[in-house]
Amino acid sequence: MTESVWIRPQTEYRNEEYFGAGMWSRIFAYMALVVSAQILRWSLYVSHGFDLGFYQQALAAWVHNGFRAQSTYFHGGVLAHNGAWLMPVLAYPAAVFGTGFLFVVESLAVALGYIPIIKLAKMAKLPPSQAALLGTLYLLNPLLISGNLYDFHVSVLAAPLILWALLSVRESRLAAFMTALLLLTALGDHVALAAILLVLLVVMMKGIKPLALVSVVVVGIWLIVLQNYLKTPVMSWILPVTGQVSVHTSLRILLYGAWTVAPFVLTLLMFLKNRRFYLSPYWLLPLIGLATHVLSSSPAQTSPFDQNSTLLVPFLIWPVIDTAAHLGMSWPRRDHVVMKVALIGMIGIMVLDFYHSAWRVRPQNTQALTAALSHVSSRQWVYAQNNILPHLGMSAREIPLSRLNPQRIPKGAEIIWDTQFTDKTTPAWVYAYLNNRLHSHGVRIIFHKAGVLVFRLLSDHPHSSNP
Amino acid sequence: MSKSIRMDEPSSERSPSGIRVAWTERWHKNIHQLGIWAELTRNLAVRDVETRYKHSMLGLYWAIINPLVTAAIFGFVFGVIFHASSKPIPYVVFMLTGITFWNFFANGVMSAVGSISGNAALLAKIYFPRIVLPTASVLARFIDFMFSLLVLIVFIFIYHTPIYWSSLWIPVILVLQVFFTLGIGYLVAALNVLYRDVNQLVGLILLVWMYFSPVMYPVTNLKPSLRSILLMNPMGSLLQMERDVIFTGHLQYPLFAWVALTWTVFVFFGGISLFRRIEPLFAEVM
Repeated sequence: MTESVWIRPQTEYRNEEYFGAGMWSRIFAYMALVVSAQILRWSLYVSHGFDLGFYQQALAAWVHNGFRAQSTYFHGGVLAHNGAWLMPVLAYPAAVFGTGFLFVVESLAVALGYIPIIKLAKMAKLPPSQAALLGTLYLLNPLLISGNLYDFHVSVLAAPLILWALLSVRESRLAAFMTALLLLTALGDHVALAAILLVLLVVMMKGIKPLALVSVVVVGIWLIVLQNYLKTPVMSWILPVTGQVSVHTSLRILLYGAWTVAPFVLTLLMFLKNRRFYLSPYWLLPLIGLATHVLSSSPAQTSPFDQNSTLLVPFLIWPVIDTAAHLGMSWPRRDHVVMKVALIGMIGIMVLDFYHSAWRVRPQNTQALTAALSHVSSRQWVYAQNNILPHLGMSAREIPLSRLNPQRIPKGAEIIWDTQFTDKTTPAWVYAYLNNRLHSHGVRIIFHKAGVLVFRLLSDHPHSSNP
Repeated sequence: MSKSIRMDEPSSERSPSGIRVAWTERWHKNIHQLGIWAELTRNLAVRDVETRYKHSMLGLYWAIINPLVTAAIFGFVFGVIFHASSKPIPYVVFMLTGITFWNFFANGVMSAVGSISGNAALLAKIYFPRIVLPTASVLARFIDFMFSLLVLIVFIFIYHTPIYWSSLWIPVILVLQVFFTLGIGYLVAALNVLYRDVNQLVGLILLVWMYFSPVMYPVTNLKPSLRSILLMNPMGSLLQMERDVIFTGHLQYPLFAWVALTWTVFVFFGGISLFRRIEPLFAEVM
């Protein structure tokens, strides 16, 4: 066996090889590609929009009303929805820089999770190429891509934060770890499970030491505050409510699912190549997380395309690094090429998925939709479908059509309705109601073109009030 | 003799004061070094402009004549023959704006392509970071661009085209464009050392790229899906932003500014990364 055939084993690598311009170019490549895809989806009116619209509305409401800010998407104040105290921090720059700022923050934060992976891999004495492979495994993970690409979600930011927290535990830097943990609490109840898993990880890595005790106390207090004071349904994110296990699958889910288990496959490869077996105890954590998600009756948790699954990614990557640290990760160059081909193939699958889920299904009346938006008043409450909501900008006065309550329609509210598009979250009776109102008195049609309507409700319902 | 401090050593081996001293020294050294390379880049850029126009009869006027002739040809073809409209901006002004900003990018990239392979003698004599050469080439074209910008300003006044205070954002957008041009410049300069076809290929790509960028046509009247695709092109969104801040007073498609920003950052770092990777091969190949 000649040396040229094999990847160089266990040699001294310079810092530059791990953290040089190459690393930054990969981080920024990811950011550029994901931001472009997000903006393309947005501009084609195919972004799911519900969550993005929620954040836009909530952030704009915060800028206007501060602690009294109410969400039009859910009952109650903005903070009471999921207890994400990052919202006020994001609100002011988002109000200035607009929706694009949210996209860039999300993509950049996720991409920066690449750095702790490279650092952890370096500490495990893995060569730069294999560190980069693990980093790519993180960036291209479909759980992360789907959470990041299709909308804006605060909970997606948990993935890089957990990795930074993990690194600070590994380097025994208490202040950095505490900062990461506190920032994790900024992301709200959706990351409750991640926080608990992180505490477990600290205990497993360090034993019952001050670091672990402090993290147990911090997370404990945070969960109590969420549950008792902010009244957020924190337990639903921690304990699964076992429902019927659905066997519904599609080619899309299978392809993405295969990639989700890629860390397991990579570990198996390491066993085979080294002819040694090492079961990392850290596999326990992703298994707890995956079990919670699989057994949950919440569609948000069981879906492999949901943002709430992104928090599992760091826990899937860490055991791979741990295994590699114990067994080494050398394999023939031929296998390395196969892995690169697999990564490129994954990008291909994502492009194909983007084509199917965005480009192919884009509405054909985008010109009319754009024209309709210019007819909407900025001083009235505006109801819109999910794909149109984000186009209303950072407005406190937008309401999703799915939240329309005929008893509480505000005076002079406007409705922008694309009759060629059926919003999955909007019940059929809402569309029937809109149809009835259109054929009754007390409605002024402001715009009508290519199936897109903008109309104002002139006569009030007897019980109408603020939404 | 005391052991010298290396920043890549584990932190446990260093005292807190040692870290501070090492960082300060390192920063001072880096800033001093950067100053030297910046001076060299500036000198090379000025030399590039001087040698380009030194023995020509019209000298620096070529920097003005080139965009004028290009604008006249395209203006005749698109404005007179094809009746292209850019209302309310006069088509000549509209197109000259596009051509001026596009030419800076295209000329910068074309100059950078041969910057390494054309300076083999210099590279053999002294050591300096090779990345200085494409940087100087792009900056030299920036000097040309400043003259073209004067022509554009004259035309804006001749045609009484209203402009807005938001034009003051132009330097910010130009910074983005310079970084984007540098990134592409590093990429093609390094590749051209390995494969000389790159020189020919870049000319061809730039030609296609120009037609896919809103240099000669406005995107406002296009179908939204087509417009989105054209603005996904970072040069397309940069050109659109430049026109918008001058002639409309606001960004018509502000979301696409983020596309330009993120691609600029990526292309710049990607260009440096590729350049550094190929750099050790320069001596061998040349």
